[in-house]
Amino acid sequence: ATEWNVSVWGQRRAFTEHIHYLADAVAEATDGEFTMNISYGGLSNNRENLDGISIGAFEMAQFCAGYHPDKNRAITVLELPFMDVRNLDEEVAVSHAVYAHPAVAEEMAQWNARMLMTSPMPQYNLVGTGEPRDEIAEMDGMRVRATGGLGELFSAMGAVPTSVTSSEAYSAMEGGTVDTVAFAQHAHLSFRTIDIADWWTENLNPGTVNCPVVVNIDAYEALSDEHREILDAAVDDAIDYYLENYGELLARWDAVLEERGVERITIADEQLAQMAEAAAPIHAAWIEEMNAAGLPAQDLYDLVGATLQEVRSGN
Amino acid sequence: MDEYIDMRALLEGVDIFDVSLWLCGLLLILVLIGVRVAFAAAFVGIVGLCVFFMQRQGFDRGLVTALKLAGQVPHSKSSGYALSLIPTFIVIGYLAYYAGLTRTLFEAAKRWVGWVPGGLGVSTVFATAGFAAVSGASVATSAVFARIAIPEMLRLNYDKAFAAGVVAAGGTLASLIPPSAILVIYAIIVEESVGKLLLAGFLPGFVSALIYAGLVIGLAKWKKNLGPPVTGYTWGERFASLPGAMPIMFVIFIIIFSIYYRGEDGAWATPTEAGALGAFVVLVMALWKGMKWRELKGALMEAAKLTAMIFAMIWGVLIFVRFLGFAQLPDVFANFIGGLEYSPYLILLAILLVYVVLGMFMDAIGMLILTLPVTFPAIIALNGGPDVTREASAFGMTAEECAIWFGIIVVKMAELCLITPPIGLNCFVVAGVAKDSKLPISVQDVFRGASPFFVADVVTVAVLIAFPGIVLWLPSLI
Amino acid sequence: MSSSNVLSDDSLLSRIDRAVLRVEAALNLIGGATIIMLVLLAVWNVVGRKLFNAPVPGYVDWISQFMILFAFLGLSYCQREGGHIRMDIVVMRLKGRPLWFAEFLSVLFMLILTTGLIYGSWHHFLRSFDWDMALYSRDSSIDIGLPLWPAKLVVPAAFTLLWVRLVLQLWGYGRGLVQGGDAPVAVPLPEDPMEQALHEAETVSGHDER
Ligand code: NA
Ligand code: NA
Repeated sequence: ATEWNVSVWGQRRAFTEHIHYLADAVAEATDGEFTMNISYGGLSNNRENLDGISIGAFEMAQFCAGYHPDKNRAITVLELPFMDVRNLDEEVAVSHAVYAHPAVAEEMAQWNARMLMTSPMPQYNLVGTGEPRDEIAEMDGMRVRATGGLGELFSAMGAVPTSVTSSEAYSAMEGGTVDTVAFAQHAHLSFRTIDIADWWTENLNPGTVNCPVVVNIDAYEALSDEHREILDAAVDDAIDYYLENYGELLARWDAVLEERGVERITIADEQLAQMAEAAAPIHAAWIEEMNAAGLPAQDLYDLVGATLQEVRSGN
Repeated sequence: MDEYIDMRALLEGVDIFDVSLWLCGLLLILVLIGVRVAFAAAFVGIVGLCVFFMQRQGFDRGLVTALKLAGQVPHSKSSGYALSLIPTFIVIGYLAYYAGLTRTLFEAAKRWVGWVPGGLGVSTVFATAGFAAVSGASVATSAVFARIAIPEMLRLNYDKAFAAGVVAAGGTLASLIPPSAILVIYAIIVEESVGKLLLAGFLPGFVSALIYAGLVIGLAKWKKNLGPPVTGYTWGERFASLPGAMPIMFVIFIIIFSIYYRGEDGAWATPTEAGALGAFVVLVMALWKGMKWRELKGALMEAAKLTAMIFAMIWGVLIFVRFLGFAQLPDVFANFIGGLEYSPYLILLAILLVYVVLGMFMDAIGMLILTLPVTFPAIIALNGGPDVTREASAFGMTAEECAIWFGIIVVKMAELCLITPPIGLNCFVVAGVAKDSKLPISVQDVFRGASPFFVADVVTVAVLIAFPGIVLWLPSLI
Repeated sequence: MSSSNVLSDDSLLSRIDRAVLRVEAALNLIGGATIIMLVLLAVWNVVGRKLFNAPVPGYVDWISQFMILFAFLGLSYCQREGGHIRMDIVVMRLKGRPLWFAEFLSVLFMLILTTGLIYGSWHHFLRSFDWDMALYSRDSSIDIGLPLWPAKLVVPAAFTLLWVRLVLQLWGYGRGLVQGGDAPVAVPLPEDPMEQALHEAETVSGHDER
């Protein structure tokens, strides 16, 4: 029998449902010959899951690119602001296209890791307290909790990126240390920033984080052909299940906003266009920096755009 | 190496859960023969990881995997932002001591309440409670008052074990009365509001101090040779002692103000930053009062040494905890609790008993980090789930209230473990300071002296369970 | 610093002990200074944010880097001074060779462990370090992308110094084991009860006055 240890963090939530689905599907298809133990924080820190894979401490893990950009430069293209990814299906498509790029595979192989699937996250919209900020001019001086490329973007709008941990986000916002926090919906719920918010930007869609699930290459190759096929085959179903489940959460989102009296803020198109413009230099800087790091940056960047076009023309 | 020793065959059929129980025993032995605790825990953790990985990967690779995995923990766990409060709170304690601030607090307490039976003991309790409002770490509070209160009690022929015990126990108040490092750690683990938890600790800390004081008075009346009251202070002398305690009041004000005051632009600081602001104020006061470079250097040397010691405890225990994670000990415990069909209060009691037992061997932070991922969801489920109403819940409170209430109780339990043998950090530190000050007090004396306070803590926990309002009233105001 | 009850003489061991102590004490002081620096950084962050709406960029990232300094720079100094806590319930009943044997054994456990941790933490550093990358970085912080390798390198370095200290203590206790007696140099000695009593009076009137 094959037993894999899987390292994830936090608590079981929409963000980890595809891993549970995968574990169940694999166990069922192999009659319990191939099982997975999913551990929430017991095996590793969330920022060190790639290290754990590299060491061979566990066979499968989830991580987010933005936690440690230098560990996974190639996929940080998926975290650039204003890449115009409009829904979770598109997020899956661009993620898997980028994961399949040889440069990504090569970088992951340095960690003895192999991409298995993504954990698609919706766009990191803002919640805020006080007067709604639906124009760029109003973002001047706004203290925003946003990391990495998103922080850079808001900084270009004149906002002040303010450093607090995600678990401190609630008390920071409650106490006024920050006025706004950028998270995906499920994180606004689980870190409870939505509970004290006055408004939420429904269409700012500035970008998101990218969180792949990887397997240890040695462990993957040591699987019997049959088990490996079963694992690979289960990925699509797991993603479908994830999307369905996250879809339910998003459907509940309207009720959540209403219940807590949170105002939806719509940002005008021409304001969004200005922001996208401000994101362009950040994209250019990313390409330059990644080229210097020896990555086919333009290639990766174009791949995202091409995949989006392909998805949209297919629909 | 694998050709000579086939570890996989050797370890075939060895149940890792059994190994984890054996290793708990080995840890106890190593600690008993005098291996430094942090290193004993890390050693046993690595042995466990070696067994786990050699079983799966053979001798060579298993050893390498185990060592690399354990080698992550010191950096990884020591760079957690929430822990940055710990040295800040330690340094406050030392600076306040070197600046003479704690002595004035003790002096004021002595003049005001020293006349009751066991007067210096009661004074120590109230002085530590007052100091708790500027210190966020139990261990640091005990360390500071060990220097001030114990010599004075010994001079008046107080029983040496009692003198050490009251300081060790009084120090635990620092973790309930804000600022508190461990409450912050709890809040972060269970993702609850840090501000609300700190507020929630105020009244229970005060109640706890009253129960300690009652115990000291009772003991002093019952055992005549425990220690005399300190009488003869005039009202004039009493009021004269108050200005000396004002700087502490000012620091308390700064910390509370910066967290709780809401101007139009929000609070001044996060709780984490407020601790640092308090330390800064104490530093400025110490310098203003003429603290010399030699003294500042001495304070920094002491604070750095104690910080290194506490962080070693943290990463050492967490290497052991990492092994327990691989052995799935926490999961086994969760299933066990989840499968019980008794009254919620009985299960709560059972969980608290487990904390008592674990607390005998573990330090407070390590224990919380190890257990909360298991016990917290269990308690929330026991109460009726995350969306339960007060009426439908088992403990008569919402999930958020339950999280705060359980937090205060569990922190009180974790504080309890600081004064229970064989591993009780506060007792060790008191003994360490006593040794440092060349006082004839052994670790065993401290544990013996602290044992009555164990009973007082049990009473406090019972009161908090019976009257959750003590915990929940203040946070309900914001 | 006054807490040290480590004897010294003219022997090679004692001279090495004191030389290493100078390094340890300096590092410990840097660790202490880092705590103050962290306090100042927090004040700067709060004041900057409140008065100028300009908090320290990447404040949490910086704090996480500095924490490693005060967590590890005092590690070896603490061992030199006998500061790491332990149960002395058994050890305090021993005297002479049995005591030095117990101490020798206890330090040997620590030395084995520390050897393992040097290896493990060195590899933890290596995984974050890359000669070919900008700032040699292959692991960075979440907020402003600080390279993590400098902080990660501090850990095996601190363990290596501790390793040296442990070898010196093995040597010291080993000498005690061979020569007998109750006062080997270069190792923290248990306090003699008589000596404690003598010191008591002077402590009560002296050290705690400040
Ligand atoms: Na406190
Ligand atoms: Na204990």
